[in-house]
Amino acid sequence: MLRLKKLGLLILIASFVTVYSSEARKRPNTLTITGSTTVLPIAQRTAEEFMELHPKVNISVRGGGSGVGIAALIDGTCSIADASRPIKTKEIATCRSKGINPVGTVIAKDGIAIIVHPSNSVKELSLEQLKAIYAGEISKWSEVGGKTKPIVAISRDVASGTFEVFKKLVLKGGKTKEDALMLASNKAVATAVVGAPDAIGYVGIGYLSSDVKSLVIEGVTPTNETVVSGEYKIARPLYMYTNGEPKGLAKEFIDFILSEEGQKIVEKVGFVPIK
Amino acid sequence: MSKVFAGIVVNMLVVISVFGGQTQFYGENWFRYTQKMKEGETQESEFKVKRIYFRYKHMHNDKLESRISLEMFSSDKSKDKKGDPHGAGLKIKDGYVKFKGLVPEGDITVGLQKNYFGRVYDWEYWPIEKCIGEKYKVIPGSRDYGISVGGYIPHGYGTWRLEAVNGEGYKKVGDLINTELAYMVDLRFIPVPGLTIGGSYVQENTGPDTLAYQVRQYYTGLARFAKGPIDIWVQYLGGQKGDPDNPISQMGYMIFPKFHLGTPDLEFFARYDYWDSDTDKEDDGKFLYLGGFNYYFSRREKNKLGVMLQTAFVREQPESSDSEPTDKIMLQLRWGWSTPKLGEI
Repeated sequence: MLRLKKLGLLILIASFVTVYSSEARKRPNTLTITGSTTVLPIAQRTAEEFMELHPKVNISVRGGGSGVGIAALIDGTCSIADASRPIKTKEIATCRSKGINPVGTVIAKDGIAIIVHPSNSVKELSLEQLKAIYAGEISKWSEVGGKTKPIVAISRDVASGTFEVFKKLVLKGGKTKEDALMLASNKAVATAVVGAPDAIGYVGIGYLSSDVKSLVIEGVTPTNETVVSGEYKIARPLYMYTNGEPKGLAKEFIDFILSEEGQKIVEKVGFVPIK
Repeated sequence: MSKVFAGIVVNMLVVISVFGGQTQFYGENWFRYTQKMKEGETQESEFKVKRIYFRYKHMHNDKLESRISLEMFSSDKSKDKKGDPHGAGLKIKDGYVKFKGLVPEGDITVGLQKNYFGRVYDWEYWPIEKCIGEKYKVIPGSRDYGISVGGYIPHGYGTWRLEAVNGEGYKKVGDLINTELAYMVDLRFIPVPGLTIGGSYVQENTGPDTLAYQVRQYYTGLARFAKGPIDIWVQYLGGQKGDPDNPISQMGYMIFPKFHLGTPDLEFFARYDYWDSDTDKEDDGKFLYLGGFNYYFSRREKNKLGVMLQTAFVREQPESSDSEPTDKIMLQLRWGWSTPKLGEI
């Protein structure tokens, strides 16, 4: 019995020594980022730029969803977890129990503009009217001050982050009407609205162009400024979570995203810069 | 067995097709080799399907969720008309409805659900062995029929839960259930990241003499320290059972350190238990020594198969010097999957 106890103790000591020596050997120039598919294009494009500026750095970026990213932060398989929503209490408790202190940094905002054909006379909608249109309770433009034409509702597909925001902030958890056209990208929605005078759709603010007209919602025009100030309501912050305050390479990378150069990339990939 | 399976499938199809909502399917498989030795003799050397879980979870809306899990396993208990074993068994592992939002950051759960006592409810079998509370039958199974209310302390400072269940575990129903309910409370605090302290209490009052538990009162205290690659659990367990006028007192403890080497995909663990099944008797205690490692080939995610290899050496040593230890070597390939969320809430 004594021999067995000594053996166990020896294995424990040897393992702790190995753990600490291998931790010390960890490559300081490698960063793994996992999480939200919404944040993915920002992480990918900024990582490419950052690696160009720092050739010895290797950044690996992958999606999976906000929950997957936070789970990876808990498991220790990523350094930064991307999330398109704030961390949940349940996730904070799991993090804390495993010695992880999740700290979120807002790196951009995701604003959604409501678009119609430029010939449409409607200029403004309330959130209630918008919800009623997508729920099928308002079916004609005349019910919101426009022509007596049927409304063609165009939505993003249910797997997209944009749909998720729209569902939460506009539909308040409700469903879109069954005959709404579900399209796979912001570009596809914008193109469909350009080609259909009676259509209404929604896209990320970065996808607005002169080919479509964006509607004023609750009296506020969707712009980068109104999204950042919080006046425009169909918007959400995007986060990067780290274990504790960002440090080392993770801090350098997040600082880069928050820099003027990084925020230009944020805007280029269709999101709202926060600076 | 086939009727149970058919019943679950019908339930699933009706729920999905009639009520809409969002459904997700999960599966988990444990394929295990065990070699058991005592006094130099091999008593067991067997490959088997230790467990297959099949689960479906249905989110009716963001306030209502239901879940059913089936467990299948290699078994010689069920036999055909000729007396030959079917080779497999089937259990309903859990089946409940969860009402969210009725308590802040929490839920009310009704049905066959986890037993919230000590580590029973969050034991994930990282070492191939049951946790102390279940191994020594303080809690008769990881699940039970009943109702519970609980949730998270704001800002992730811990968890709490109150529960009332049959008290006989998920394998017993009908005449095997006594007339008294078992009541449980579990509380965990996480004052700082990496430090968890908590405890649980279970009380089941006197039942008919013909049933196993006339009285059952157990308490447990536990602590966890987790930092970087190190994760250590310590648990103390004590209580009494049997005749209320002359109960049997029991006590035990478990020390369970786990750590990973360089990569989080390779983790080593050790465990040391002591259990005294009657504190009034001399030399009737048991020691358990366990050591091993797990290797994750891939971690389970949405649309991604999780695969891990588990190994463990277990020695169970009776306290009495007259008794020989029993040794077990276990190797287990464990893999699991989950589908994307199907449908829309």
